[in-house]
Amino acid sequence: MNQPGRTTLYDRHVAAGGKMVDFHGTCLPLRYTREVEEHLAVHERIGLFDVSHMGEIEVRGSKALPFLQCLTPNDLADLRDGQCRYNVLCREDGTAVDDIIVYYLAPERYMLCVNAANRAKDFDFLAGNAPTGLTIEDRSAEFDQLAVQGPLAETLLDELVDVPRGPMPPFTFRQLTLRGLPVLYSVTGYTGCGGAELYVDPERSPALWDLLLEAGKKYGLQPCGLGARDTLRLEQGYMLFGNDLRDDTTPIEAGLAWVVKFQKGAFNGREVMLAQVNGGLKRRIAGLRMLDKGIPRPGFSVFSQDRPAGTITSGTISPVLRTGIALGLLDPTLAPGAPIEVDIRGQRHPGEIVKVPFVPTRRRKKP
Amino acid sequence: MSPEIPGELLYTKEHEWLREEGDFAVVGITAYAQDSLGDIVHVELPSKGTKFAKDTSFGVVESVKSVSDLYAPVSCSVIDVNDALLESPELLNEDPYGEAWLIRVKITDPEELGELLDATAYETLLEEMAE
Repeated sequence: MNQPGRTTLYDRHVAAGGKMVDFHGTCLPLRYTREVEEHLAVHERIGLFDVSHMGEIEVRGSKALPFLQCLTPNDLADLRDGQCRYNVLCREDGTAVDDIIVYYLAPERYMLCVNAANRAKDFDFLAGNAPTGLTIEDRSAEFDQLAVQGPLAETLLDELVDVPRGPMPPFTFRQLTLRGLPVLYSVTGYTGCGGAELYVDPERSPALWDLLLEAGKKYGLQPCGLGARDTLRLEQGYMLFGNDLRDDTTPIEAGLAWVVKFQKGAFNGREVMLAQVNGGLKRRIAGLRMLDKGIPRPGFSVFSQDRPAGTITSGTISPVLRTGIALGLLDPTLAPGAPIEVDIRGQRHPGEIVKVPFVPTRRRKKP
Repeated sequence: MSPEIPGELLYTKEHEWLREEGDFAVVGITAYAQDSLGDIVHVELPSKGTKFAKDTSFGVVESVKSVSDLYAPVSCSVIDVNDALLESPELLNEDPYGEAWLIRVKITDPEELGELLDATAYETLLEEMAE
């Protein structure tokens, strides 16, 4: 059993020099060495992350598909065996409860991978909206999750897989064994650098961690903490729930219009989101890049031609670009290339609106 | 592994160090501070001639994850600034007691030096924080 607030791998993190921090109630490594070193290891080679804090909620029953279709704007109707899809749980007014990945486990059986901080909220939301006959089950205790990310990650995993897995495009998954260890192998991630996320029985996660560390040595695999995870996701412009996508924003406001499939029929918040798309949008998440050494941080104000233009929701220095980058909830009329200024401790610093990702998404590369 | 605490320096509870040089002093951040912050990516320092009261903010140090104020260990006026840090903030991670000094100051009130921690007291502070 896990100790309260600790993942199965806690002792391994401490032994590896992890600087442990409380992340929404779970004790996780912020870093083992340096954030930038770990970030670049993922960008260039392989990083290994313990993301066992993520929650897994299963929805099953004959009404599972219409239920999920109603609560989310992305279309799940064509999701088949071995496929998963990014989506957003939405309230009736279109505001986001969480961003999730929906796995099609079997007919009438779906698994939702949810943010750790939102696990209880998501479960209550799902259970509170569930029709009779539908089962909502929090299975988080049954899964640890290791993210193996980077351009060489799939090469390493291919070496360890017991039966050749064949091509697997992004957002597909399969039950596989790695040197005898059963995993749910999912071609997903939060880094934009390629690789996979491995769901594993907590009893086997230490063995899987050790196997990956040992076999990954020759590829320069680096254990990585939450710090690198955050800078990597931000370079890709991926949302962090609670910062960019929030309880008071819709997916449209979060810049996730590509997730919203109006043609699929009724779903929570459809009319609100439709009105936003048709000219009623007052604010929208966009990317910006600094043109000097200033580092934008959450909460800082953004100005356009000396007028207030919104607020930074996530910001840091990009280890790859070596300049400040940020997502902000901004005036939606600001297009890429538009000059802006960020108020950093009382001084205006120049920047410009840019398209995300800030850093091109990387795919598998040959060693 | 405990961070380095040179015996000849004075320290603050905010993890700055001060090297006394007669009426003058050099100020920096401790090895513990740089290790806690992680990768230091940006430093803001005052202009020469600026005066600071003890415990007021004279600058900012930013790591990948955080922004931290720098506090004057004693009341002082700034006579020199380590401009190299503006181009190479990572020096603070590499050599916090040497090349990565922050400012050189003229001490306004030498009696305030008595309020600073010596190396033994600073070590005790770090031990207490670790508990």
